[in-house]
Amino acid sequence: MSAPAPKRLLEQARQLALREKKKPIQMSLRRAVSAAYYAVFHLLVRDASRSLTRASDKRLRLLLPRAFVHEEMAQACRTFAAAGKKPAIIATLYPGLVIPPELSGVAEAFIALQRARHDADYATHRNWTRTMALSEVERAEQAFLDWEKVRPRSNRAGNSVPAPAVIEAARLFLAWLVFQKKLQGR
Amino acid sequence: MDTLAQVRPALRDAHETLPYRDAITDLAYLRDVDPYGEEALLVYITITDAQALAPSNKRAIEARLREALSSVFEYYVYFRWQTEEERVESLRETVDDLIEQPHSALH
Repeated sequence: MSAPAPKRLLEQARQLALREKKKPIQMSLRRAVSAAYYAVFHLLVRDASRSLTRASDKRLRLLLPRAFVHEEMAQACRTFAAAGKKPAIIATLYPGLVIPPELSGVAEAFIALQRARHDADYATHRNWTRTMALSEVERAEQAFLDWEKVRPRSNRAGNSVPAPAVIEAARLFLAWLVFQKKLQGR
Repeated sequence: MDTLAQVRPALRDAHETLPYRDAITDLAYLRDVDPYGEEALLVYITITDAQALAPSNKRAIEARLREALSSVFEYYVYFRWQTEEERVESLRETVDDLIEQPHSALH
């Protein structure tokens, strides 16, 4: 069993948006938008599962992604968006928390892409244009770039790593994606 | 309070100070409901052509519009980008009168 590769999904999203040379067909544009959302979804689910487990927990890393709920993830992202209100439990435990703009960008992109994916898959009365679809693909691509700047990672092999405060904010974000509903009112 | 009545002037005012505003030919809006049943606002941004704006410029414009609308519309605002050619074609293809068309804030 292997998890979807986020980067492949992102590449596929762009390919689908550009699939027809002249007049694009709705199916290609809608699948492009959906793939763009799922690219970011799987990127965050994968890194959250990694953040919450050890590398040796191979089975757990397959199991944990099933715990993520789309709506709850969007709700969690609202906390980390630029104008997001911090719940009391976060304000108390992380009094000095500064959310990097790249992290806010990822959170906002997730919310927007989820909305776009719903429209692409269910709002059949509204047509998509190529520019609309490509704009959502670009949004996902930017989210990947932003996430790369804040993503928690080891400094093995001389990788540059984000500052500790940035990693702390990113790890909180990843945990919040799955536990937000349980922790919000505490 | 009819919040939608305030959307139009808010968008018009915001347009005056938008970065890269020469590339924007129209801002139009529709009241909508998000997938979880909450009220939302869909804003169509029409640009001269597909290459008119870099992705980062689009995000900057969205941020400015979101900020401008935050004082008159408390729910989620989301955006769809289209070119002038696509807008015209889309209008031509929409034959169903039951589908509400976006209301232009600039024209």
